[in-house]
Amino acid sequence: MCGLCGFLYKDPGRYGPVGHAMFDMLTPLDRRGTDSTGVALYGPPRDDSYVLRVRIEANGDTPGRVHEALAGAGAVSEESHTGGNLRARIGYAGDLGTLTDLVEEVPETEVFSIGRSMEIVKDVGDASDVEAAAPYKSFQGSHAIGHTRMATESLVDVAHSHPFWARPFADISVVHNGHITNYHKLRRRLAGKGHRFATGNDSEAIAVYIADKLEQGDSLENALRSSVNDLDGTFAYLISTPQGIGVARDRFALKPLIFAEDDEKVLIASEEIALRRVADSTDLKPRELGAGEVRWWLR
Amino acid sequence: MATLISEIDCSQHTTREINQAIKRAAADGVPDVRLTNPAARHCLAVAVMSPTRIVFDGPVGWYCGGMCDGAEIVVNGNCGWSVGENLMSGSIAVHGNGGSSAGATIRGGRVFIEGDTGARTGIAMKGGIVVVGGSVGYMSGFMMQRGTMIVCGDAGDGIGDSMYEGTVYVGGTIHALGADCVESELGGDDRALLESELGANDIDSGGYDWKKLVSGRKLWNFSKHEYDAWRAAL
Repeated sequence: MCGLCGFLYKDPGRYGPVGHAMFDMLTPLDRRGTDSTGVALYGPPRDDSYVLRVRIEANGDTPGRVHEALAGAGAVSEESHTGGNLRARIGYAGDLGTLTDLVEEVPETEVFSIGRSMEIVKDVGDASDVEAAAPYKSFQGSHAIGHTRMATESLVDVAHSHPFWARPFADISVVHNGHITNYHKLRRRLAGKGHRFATGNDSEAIAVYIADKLEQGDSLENALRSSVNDLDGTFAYLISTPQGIGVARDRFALKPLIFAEDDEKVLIASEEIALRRVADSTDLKPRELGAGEVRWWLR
Repeated sequence: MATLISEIDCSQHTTREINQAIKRAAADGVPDVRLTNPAARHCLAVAVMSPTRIVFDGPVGWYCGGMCDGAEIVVNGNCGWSVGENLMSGSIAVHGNGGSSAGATIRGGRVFIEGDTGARTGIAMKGGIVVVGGSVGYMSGFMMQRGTMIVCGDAGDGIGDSMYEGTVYVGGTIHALGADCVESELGGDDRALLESELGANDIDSGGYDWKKLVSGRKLWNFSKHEYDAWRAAL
């Protein structure tokens, strides 16, 4: 059991307190698991640089060594770290897989995300614990997805927390509730195409699967539709790109997912209790996503 | 004499306190209990065993009204999964959309959802009546054993799958019948029942293309001659 949520402003020019929305939506979803909590936040994109979010060893010279690794690849700015979470912006035009390798050659590091606009923040514990470890509530952005986890099939640690970045594809992330029972087969197939995986978590494969489809030129709609056939098991998931959010539910509708929208925004969650923390209006009438149904909202 | 509680602000109490207050009010003979700010919280008004009228002004979460016996519950908003699960008698009316498993395993009473519901609506019903003003999702009426389900809108795949007994009426499109669920002839008694039950919720039964679904009874007893039917069902 896990809790999912998403928030999107429909107007492409609109940015607002999506970090706060995630905090408010994730807090009541803690009953669906507090092993870990995380968010993927999308701010105003910048074409000239990428933002990195990196998990580092909290003590020692790791931040300095990560800085050296980054500085060797491009101009580094906006560098900061809170405990085990490092954030930096880098002017870089090369391959993101190579950049990820450069950073992860520093021991005790893991790249959470690289994106023009996306930043992934995650840690063990509930929404408040993560806010204390790596503040995200004040983030202003266009959209965001969030996850609270009850681990059932892989480790309870930061690396196996959601959201997962579809490495090395910039700005694509996924949150998932369920089990992908053909995970090993799917992963082997994607690994055979050259894609790499940072964890043994089945949800990471969804992110890479969708990103691979998008890279081949598929639309988000087609990628979502294909996933309902290609993924076995139970799932409700949200995938986010710089353009918007897509959702899908397995053909047996075994995991909950509801959505509601008005002219201004789209709200998605495992349970209505999360929606009501950010939208009091009774005009918003949530509806459950059907069995095997997919939906997407682009800005 | 105990103070009669007729209004409860859910935002000021834990779920346990709310449910205890409802039961105290019911025991004190309060005929009407109104609850504000439920904010889609789970497990509200469960196991109320008296004919008290309980009104929620706002959405409720999962399992609202579960295991109740005689209460009359009104939700002015949506509800989450499994509204009225295992209802024994009484009624629940939801003026909004519902989640999955609405009216699951009810033994009696009446569950009404004005809008759409999700997958497995009315699963394993053992009596009572479920009325849905909109459409129902995948595998609704699965393993129904007794009772009546009325769906004014469309029915998702697998409607009435492996039902033993009971009746399902669908006014809209049926995407696919479930295993051993068959269409039966709609008679005068059926039309009278639809008119009466839907009329109770101010819905005119005349504007629909009603289909009556019942068990084909081929799965009641195993027969090696019906191997294909069993294989499809399992």
